[in-house]
Amino acid sequence: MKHAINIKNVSKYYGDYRAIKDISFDIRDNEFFTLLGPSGCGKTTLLRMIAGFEIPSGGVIKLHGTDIQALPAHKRCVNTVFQNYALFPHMNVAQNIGFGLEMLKWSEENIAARVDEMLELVHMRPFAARMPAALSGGQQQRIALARALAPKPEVLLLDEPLSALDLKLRQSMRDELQQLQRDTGITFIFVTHDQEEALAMSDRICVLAEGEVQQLSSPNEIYENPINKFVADFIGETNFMAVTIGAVNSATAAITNPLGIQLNVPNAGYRPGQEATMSLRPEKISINTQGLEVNLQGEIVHRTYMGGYTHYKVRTANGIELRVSKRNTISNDTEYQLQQRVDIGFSKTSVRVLCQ
Amino acid sequence: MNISALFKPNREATHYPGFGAVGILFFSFLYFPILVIITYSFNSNRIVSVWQGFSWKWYASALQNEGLLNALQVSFTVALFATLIATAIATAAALVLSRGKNVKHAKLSQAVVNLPLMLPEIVFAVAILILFSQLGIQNGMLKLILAHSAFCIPFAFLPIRARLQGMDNNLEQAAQDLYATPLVTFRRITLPLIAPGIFAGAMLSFVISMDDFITSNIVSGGGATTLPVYIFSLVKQGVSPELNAISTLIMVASLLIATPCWLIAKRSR
Repeated sequence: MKHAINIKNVSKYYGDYRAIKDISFDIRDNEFFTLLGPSGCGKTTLLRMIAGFEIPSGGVIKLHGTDIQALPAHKRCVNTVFQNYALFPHMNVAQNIGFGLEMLKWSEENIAARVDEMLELVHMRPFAARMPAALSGGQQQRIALARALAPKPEVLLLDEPLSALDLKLRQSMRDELQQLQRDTGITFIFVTHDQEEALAMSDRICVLAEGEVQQLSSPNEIYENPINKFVADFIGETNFMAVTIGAVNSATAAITNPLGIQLNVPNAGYRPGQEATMSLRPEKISINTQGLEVNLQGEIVHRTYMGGYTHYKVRTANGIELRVSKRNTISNDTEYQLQQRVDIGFSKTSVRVLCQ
Repeated sequence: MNISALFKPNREATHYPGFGAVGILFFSFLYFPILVIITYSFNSNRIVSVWQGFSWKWYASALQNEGLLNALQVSFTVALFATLIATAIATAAALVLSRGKNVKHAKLSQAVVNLPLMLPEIVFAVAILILFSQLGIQNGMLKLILAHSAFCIPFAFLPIRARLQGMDNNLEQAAQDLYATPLVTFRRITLPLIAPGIFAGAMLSFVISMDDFITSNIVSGGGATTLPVYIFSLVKQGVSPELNAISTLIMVASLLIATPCWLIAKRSR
């Protein structure tokens, strides 16, 4: 498969501080790739290194096979959508979108045609003559997108572009971004700390923490099979329990857990006596449902009604509090009351055992 | 008076008793002397303080006074060149200090640029006089331009730097991201956006230079006298009605320059 970006052994120091620790991965052509992580994980630094605003302390970054290390930002065929949009306040919308084309010495007719095309793409044609200050946040966002896409970059970099928008707008922009990526066929590298955004839009997600790649996989794989405790915790909600590896044979390992249930998982190289963490997502646990592998007794101790969901906290007989999330599929469905005794159950395949 | 009004949370200064009287007193103190000068500039009497009748004659004599016109020309030339030099240096300094990466001793440099604002001007004037004599610079005009350029720099620097700091530096990165070279970025993005700051800095430099007395008085000689120095020499000979006319003319000229500048600055905001 052709790669849009190769990142090889890239590191970045700020003085003694290592912001990026020897990272290597590839970004495929035409994919929607997300760098996801908490603030300070190095995701923006990585993006800025691809854009040319930061110089790596070591390693190589290649754009479609060409080493771009020596190229300054203005010679790289990548464009950026900035977090605060960074629209030029002294130029109108059309001038903003045409700026990159003007710099690339396109002819005037070609610029006009491309600007028109871009305005159409982001549904902003009536606003061509407006100044950026006269636009709403969502409109500015679209112009920033149009401006960055106009010169047909090989890769589009997006630095938390949705974080300044309100919730409704953010959700509709997600769909639009995804559509835009499919329509243009340009590789998108999207930086965010919002796991929902990452899950919703990406072809692949790279989870970063403390300057290191934690896991690089599809959204589904990241959510369902997190590689370590950090990823399981950062993406979505989960119940963690400290467990110990018991008897091990070539196929399975027994897990000694505080729920007191018999649990055997496929052996992934566990050693007997090893400390580990067990993760169980709240939506994998059902209340008062028949026919599940594992069944426990518990008592509702907390309830949060969210509309589409209700989040419960259930205390089991041996004092473990589990978060349980129940989808409200039927109108006026049974609401479990505080202190109500319930049966909870889950499938053993829903359990993940994490060693790091 | 309604007592309950005093308990209103939003108590503006204008609601305090005596606000109007104090205000009138304040503005009288500020502007009454100026009003007197303007009025007596039209007095036909030779004796300044005794009103005789309306006359334009002191304006006519002021505008025919060769020493005065000469001093005005010197002041204007000095202010023009000092403004150009100071603004150019101040812009460069502001750009380096707010945009440069890894600038060593940036805080110290900024303090040094601003130091002339804190230094007593007489110290600066004496120092520069000694420097000029050491260097052997004789030309009066050159001395004035160099000295004025030096003390105008911090005045030009402050508004330019304020403007740069208020400007999102992502804009410059966005331009470079869109294939603009650093030079084009400066010309197309930075310069237009900090232009109001540069304009304000230049205006401030010009006014400070025009107005300067201490340095000009000490450094002048060599055939160049600025307007404030010339006026001071007139005052030493006694206050003449011509002086009133000159002062009024300068005031009108200042207002004519300042008003459009103020309007431009207001519009660009």
